[in-house]
This record gives sequence, structure tokens and C-alpha cells, in this order.
Amino acid sequence: MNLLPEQYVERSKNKARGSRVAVSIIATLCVVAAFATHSRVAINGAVKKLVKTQVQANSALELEFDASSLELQKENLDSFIQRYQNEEVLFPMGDLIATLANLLPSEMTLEELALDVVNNEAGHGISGRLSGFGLSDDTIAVFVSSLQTKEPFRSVSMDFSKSRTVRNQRARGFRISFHIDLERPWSIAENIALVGGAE
Amino acid sequence: MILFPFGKQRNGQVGIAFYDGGITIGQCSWKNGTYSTASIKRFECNLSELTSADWRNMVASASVIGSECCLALPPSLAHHQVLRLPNMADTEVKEAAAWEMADRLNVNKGSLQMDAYPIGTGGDVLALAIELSTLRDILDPMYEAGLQPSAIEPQCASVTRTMSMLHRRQGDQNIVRSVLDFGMHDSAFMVLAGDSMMFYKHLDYSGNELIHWIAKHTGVTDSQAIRMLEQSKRHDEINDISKAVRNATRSIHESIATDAMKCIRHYGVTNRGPLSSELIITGSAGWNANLASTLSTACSQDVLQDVRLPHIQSLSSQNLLQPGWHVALGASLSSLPIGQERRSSGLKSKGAA
Repeated sequence: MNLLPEQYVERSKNKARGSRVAVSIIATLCVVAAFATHSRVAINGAVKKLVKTQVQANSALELEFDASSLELQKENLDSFIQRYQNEEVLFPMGDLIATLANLLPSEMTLEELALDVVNNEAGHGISGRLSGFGLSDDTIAVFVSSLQTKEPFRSVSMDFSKSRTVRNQRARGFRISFHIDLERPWSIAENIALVGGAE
Repeated sequence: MILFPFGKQRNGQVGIAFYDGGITIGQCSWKNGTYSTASIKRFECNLSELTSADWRNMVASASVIGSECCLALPPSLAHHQVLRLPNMADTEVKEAAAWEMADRLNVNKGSLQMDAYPIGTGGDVLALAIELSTLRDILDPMYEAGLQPSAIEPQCASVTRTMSMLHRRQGDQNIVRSVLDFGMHDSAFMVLAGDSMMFYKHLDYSGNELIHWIAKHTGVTDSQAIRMLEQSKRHDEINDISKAVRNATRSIHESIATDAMKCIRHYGVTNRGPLSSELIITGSAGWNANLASTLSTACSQDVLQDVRLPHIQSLSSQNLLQPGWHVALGASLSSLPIGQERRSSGLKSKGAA
């Protein structure tokens, strides 16, 4: 039993329907707002992550560039080492000086060593001079005769010997000349300079 | 607040009862065979001068949820007539009842809102009619106040629902009870089979008439007569006051008992099936020990107060003191799916058997 006229029934239904639609719209808007907020937060997080990743990528690129440069330098260095190792040493100056140092007796002091490359009709060579002072002429003569027996020293001669005073003591100053022929093959043993009997 | 379709099966809408010249607003839910969260509020007001503000205030102070409501109208607002019509289809019955009501009320059929409902098995039809102008005066302020009436039913339908909440199964349709709804302005006698109303008769007896007779018979004022009537309701022991009330109301009680007996007899003659096994008294002026005794003697059956029914005992006394509570709660549960409940309960009973 219902005495409610049809027009009022429809009115009630429409009102209820309208209210439900309004509530549905509000609920939908709330869901959309929540979804948008969540999306915004997610986007912000993704942007931060992207920036961080880009910074890391830049660092990685710089490192990779540095690594490439180092690799290139290493290759250049290896190439230079290889080239250096493949090249023959023409003039073993260290061995020459070590030979001189080992021949030099303790009574002698070397003040000057001069090497000049000379090119003349006699050929291509090095003209060397040694000057200093010694305790006596005998000592200097012994040094000269020893130097004459050593390769590659040739034409060893004492230019002069004169008296001089060193630390209130009498000594003999000297200058010795020698010649090294570069057009003739010679060999020299690898020497180590001994100072006072120790390396 | 908007009630969505889900959850409505158990939760009642707002029930509004136009009862005893005032408004009773109630709402309840039905769960596990008893009322739950029932709230009832009574408002004494002039029914013809209700405005949307009045409705708004009443709904706000009644602490009800939702805007959908069901109205229960008394015979003073909606005309109740029991017609005897030949067996016809429902639409034809309603059309015939509409013509008959228009003829009896001597008004144009188009100015009436009418409905008809077959009661009993003897061809009786309860026809209802209300002037559209009266209906507009009631409904328009309610709509303006935000209420959404979904149904308007007669007061007897709401009372029937309240008194038969525990008799909604198919197997309960053979349990017949009589109900005397005794209000302060009028009364009605109903016979219920299960949850179906099988007989209805509007009676002119009222609580106000009892008070008038007590005042007249004992020479006291109306307020004193009201207190005397209340005292005689509560106490069964014989004292001077109860004797005076009994003597003053004896004739009316006997008249009520006589009419009740006639109603029961009429039902028994015009309807097939079992007879009434008990008589329930409800209504704002309902329970009275003298009336119960007189009715029990005249009708030869148990007479019990409505609060003795198991499902009503769960209601608080504060709610039960509100006039028209039974109408408001009945209207509140008008959306309860009775057919579905009955089917499922019947299946359960069959399975249990």
C-alpha cells in the first residue's frame, strides 16, 4: 500500500539519484585528485632520480673520457718504450764516466771533464779533456797509462803538469787529452762506479 | 546523508507517524530477530501548520540518519474504508475501490489519491483515500526540508508490521492474532495472520474519551483524570482510585470488548483458516488492567500488552513511552524485503524439518 503519488515518487527518485550522482562525482573527483597527487609525487621522485642519474652519467662519461685519455697515453708510452727498447744506444756515456771514475786513484781529484764532437779529415770522433790535480806526477802518469789501456780511449796524452797548492799542500795540476773514434766499432763493458770501494 | 542501496535490507529508513495529533519520528534496524539502534522522538505540534523549518528542526533533533522516509497516516488524514468487492484483478479492484471511495466521500475522483489492498479471504478490500491538496500540504514542506518520502502507508499497515516482525515466515501465516490499537484520538481493531492483515475496523474509542468519562464520573479535572488513568494502568491491586476508574470506564471498556468480540466473530465467519489465539493491546492509551480483563472475558482469549512480545522487549522503556512508537518503527521498516525473508526462512524451516 502506497499513497504517494507517482509524481512524488519520481521526485524522490530523482532527488536520490541526483544525490547519488553528486556523491559519485565527488568520490570520483577525490579518486582523481588522489591519483593526480600520487602521479605528481611520482613524477617529482622520477625527476629527482633522473637528475641524480644524469649526474652519475656525466661522472661516468668523464671517467670514461679520462680512461680513454689514459689509455691513449699508455699506448703512446708503450709505443715509446717499445721504440726506446728497440733503439740501440750509440754512446754509453755512463759506462765511460764509470770507467774514468773507477780508474781515478784516490790521490787524484778530477775538476773538469769536457767532451767535444769533432769532425775533421781524421774522421768523426769525440775529443775529451780531463783536468784536475794529483798528489804527484807519478800518480798522474799511472792514471794516464791505465786510461790508455781502456777502450775506447785513444791517443791519451798529458797536455801539461804544473805545481799548485791545494789546502796549503803542494800538488800537481794536470790536463789530459784523449780521443774516442766514433767511426770504429768498439765495445765497453757495463761498469758501475765504485766510490770508496762501494757502489 | 544519503543512504545507498546496499545495507538497506536491515537498516530502516526514517519512519514518520502522524499519531494522536502529533508527529513521532523513529528509526531502527532489524537484526537477528530483534530491533537494534532504535531511536524514537515525539513532537507535539499542529499537523496542519507544519512548515519546512519545523520538519528540519524535528528531523535534526530526532537524531535519525538518511533523508528517505516513510509516512504513516491515521484515518483522520487518510480515509479508511473496508469495501466488499467481487473477486477481480488487482488493477480492477483498485479502480473499483477508487470509484466507490469517490462516491462515498462525494468528491471528484481526480482530486483524490487512492489505493486499495485486499484483506482476508472473504473479498474485503481496505480502500484508502486522501485529498491531493492535503497530501501536497503534507509533502511539500517535507521536500523543502530535504526529506525524501518513499512511501505513504496507512497507520494500520505500520502497526501490522511492528506486531508481526516475528511472524514473517510462510509457516507463521497460520498464527492468527488480534490487535487493538488504542490511541488517544481513535482506535482500530485488526486481525493478523502471520504478517498479513486479514481484518480491519476503525473504532471511535479513544483515550481522551476515557479521560473525559473519568473526569465526568468522579468530578475531577482532566489532568487529575489522566493521573488516575495512569495509576490504574500500572497497578493491578484494587484500591479506591482503580475502583473509581473502573466504574467510570466500565461502559466504554464493555463497548470496546463487545466490538472486539464482533470483529473476531466477523473475521471467523468471513475468513477461512484458524481463529485468533490471542489479543494484543497496543497504542498510547492501550494497556489497562480493567480493559484487558474485560476483553479477555468477552473474547475468550489471552490478552497481552504489546511490550510482552519478545522482539519489543528489547526496546528501551524510554522509547516505549513515546506515543506512536509502534507506528514509527513499523514505518521505518517498510523497506524490509519481507518476501525474500519469508522464502529463505521457509527454506530453512523445511531443511530443519
